[in-house]
Amino acid sequence: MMAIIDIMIIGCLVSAAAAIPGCFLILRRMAMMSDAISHSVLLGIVVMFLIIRTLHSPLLIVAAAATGLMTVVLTELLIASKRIKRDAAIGLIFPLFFAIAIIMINQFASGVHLDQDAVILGEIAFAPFHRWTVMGVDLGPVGAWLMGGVLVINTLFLTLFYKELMVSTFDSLLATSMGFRPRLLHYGLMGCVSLTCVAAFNVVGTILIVALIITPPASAYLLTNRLSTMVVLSVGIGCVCTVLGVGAAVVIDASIAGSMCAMAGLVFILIFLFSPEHGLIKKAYNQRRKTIQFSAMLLTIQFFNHRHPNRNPFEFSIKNLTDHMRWSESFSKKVIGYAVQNNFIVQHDAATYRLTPFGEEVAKNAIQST
Amino acid sequence: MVIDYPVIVALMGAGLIGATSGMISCYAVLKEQSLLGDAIAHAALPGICLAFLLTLNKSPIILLTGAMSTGILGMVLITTIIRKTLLKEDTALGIILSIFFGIGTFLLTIIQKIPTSRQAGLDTYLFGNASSMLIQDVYLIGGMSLVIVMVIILCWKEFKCMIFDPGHAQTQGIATIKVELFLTILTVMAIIIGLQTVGVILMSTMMIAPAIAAKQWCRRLSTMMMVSVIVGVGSCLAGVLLSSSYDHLPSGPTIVLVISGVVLVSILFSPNGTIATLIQGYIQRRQIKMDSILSNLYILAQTHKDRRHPHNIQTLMVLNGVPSQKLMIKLRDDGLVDQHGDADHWGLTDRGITRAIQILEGSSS
Repeated sequence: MMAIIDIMIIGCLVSAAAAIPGCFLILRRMAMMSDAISHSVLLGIVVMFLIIRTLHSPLLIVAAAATGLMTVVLTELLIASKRIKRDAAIGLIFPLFFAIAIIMINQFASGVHLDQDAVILGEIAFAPFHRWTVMGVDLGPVGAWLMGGVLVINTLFLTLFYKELMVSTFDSLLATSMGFRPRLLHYGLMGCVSLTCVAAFNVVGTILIVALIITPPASAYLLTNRLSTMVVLSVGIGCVCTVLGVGAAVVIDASIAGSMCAMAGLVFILIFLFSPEHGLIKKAYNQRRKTIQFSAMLLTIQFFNHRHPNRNPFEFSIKNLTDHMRWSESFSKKVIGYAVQNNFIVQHDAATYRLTPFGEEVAKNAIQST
Repeated sequence: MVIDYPVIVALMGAGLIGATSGMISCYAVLKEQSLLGDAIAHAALPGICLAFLLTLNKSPIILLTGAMSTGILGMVLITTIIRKTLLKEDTALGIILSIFFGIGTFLLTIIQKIPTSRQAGLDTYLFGNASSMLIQDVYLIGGMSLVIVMVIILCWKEFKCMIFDPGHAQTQGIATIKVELFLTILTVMAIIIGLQTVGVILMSTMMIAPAIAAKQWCRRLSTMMMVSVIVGVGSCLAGVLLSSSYDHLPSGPTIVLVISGVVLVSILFSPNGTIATLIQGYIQRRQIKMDSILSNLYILAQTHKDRRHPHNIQTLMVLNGVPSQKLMIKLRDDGLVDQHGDADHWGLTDRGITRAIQILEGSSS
């Protein structure tokens, strides 16, 4: 039970650390850069491992973060050559790094812990057992300390450069003219992504970290229009996904990383459907409402055009709407309901309606504005 | 190097995959959807796992059908997210890629617990291994490649129009939604059949590299596609041959190395490539320097009777940065300037005067 709580804590730290740079990646349309970085850090780890022959050294993290940044630099170089578009450049560099890493593992390091499954899937399940002890005192899992450190660094970067990041994200030209050096900020942000990927690499693997960097901020983006709220929300959503994911994985005894991914996806779909402002359902509802509003306006115009004294009652009946406007009966009833409710028309007799003075105004305005 | 039966099978399969990805990558790159290959390859994993879980059968047809279905589902979801939310394409790709793959690994761990099943066959889809290919796999890949080629030939005009100008395609009465769907299905097919050879992660390269390499050399879609197919087939064959001649050299990463090399060479050395551009820039800058030396000498000499009046090279330096000795010698060899008296004094020749007048008139007009 303690192990599960440890896993949850580490998972929450990972998702909080990942969500912070993730928000900016999404807003800067560079989400796929996280995919690229998370794959190419493997090369740094392998190369450093071959040099120092141990998997427990901070040098590994340094080397891996450096390869992450190198991916960014190389990608930008390719783009600057003008021979290649941005997406193609991203998609060429990281598989190359990854391929070199896999070949090196196969050639020089086969059989080491660095096996390919661990790289992709991570092994958060073992994280609690890898503990940090100082002079015999158990200080908790190393993973938690590591991720906590990254979270602190990311938070510091965010709070120190919040307004610079915000301006350069939304208006890079303005940022330059204010003297903010957007390129430096860009590399700082990429450094954060790199560091997060490296630290999380041991814990959750290459793919899950991409899920945690992109999905919670994307979900938060659908819920709010404010950057600060988005950052806070995405950290919260990340933690919720983690707790649910770990819980589900324990219940069905399956991959924890995979289950966290699945939960992140589920939460995203739920928010995508039910978000109060940008959700699919709310949008469909708004669309429907607008259709009815517009149709009610058409109805007032129709009544207005047929308003002479010896009026033909047919023009004011529901039957007329289905015949002349080609509306279905149920839709006609909805439109009439809406029009009555808004005092555009009133019931005249059993089968027909007539315009109210207010409805006449509405029709006149509508005709004039077209 | 021993070319035995398994190697020949692997070569056939890899060659076919190189050819189909060569063709499809052209469309992906021109539509600026290069990363789609990456996303769809990842999205195929849960399909492979589900197909296996449902049938407990490892035959390629069943697994590929599963992969196709989640691949297409992923593609549909990506389009839906882009159309229905404010989220951009890269975010949509990233979400689908990571979530689908996560679900895939989740299912893999469930499969591992089924006592009768060995997961080994499914692992090849992660990292790709051409040497594990059987002749039945080659038949399947061949059949699917044939379908892809046929559809591309039949819909050549429509695809071309769609890619370069979707609006125009619509006005020409092309059923854009249907054509788009066809192209999507073809793309997913090409990605799926490549999974077994190069694996999920490296499939991204196959969907980009051949077309990028080809694009450096040609400007027509038809020639680009041909070059792209040649690059794809050549790299796949070379990769498989290399990996079968050395120990511990998996085929997928080797193919990626080879094809990335081809891309690098193409970007550097093609007629419009980086090196050609650099050389062109150098020649242009040199020409401008030489032109300004000539015109400065001409303007300086106007204060004297003789328009060929020589001036000290130091004077030129003041006016014109640093006219290097090398440039002056080049100008002298072209017969445009002359050395007078000591080596530091230079004046225009008659030809040099004509040229200087041309330059000055050209720049003033």
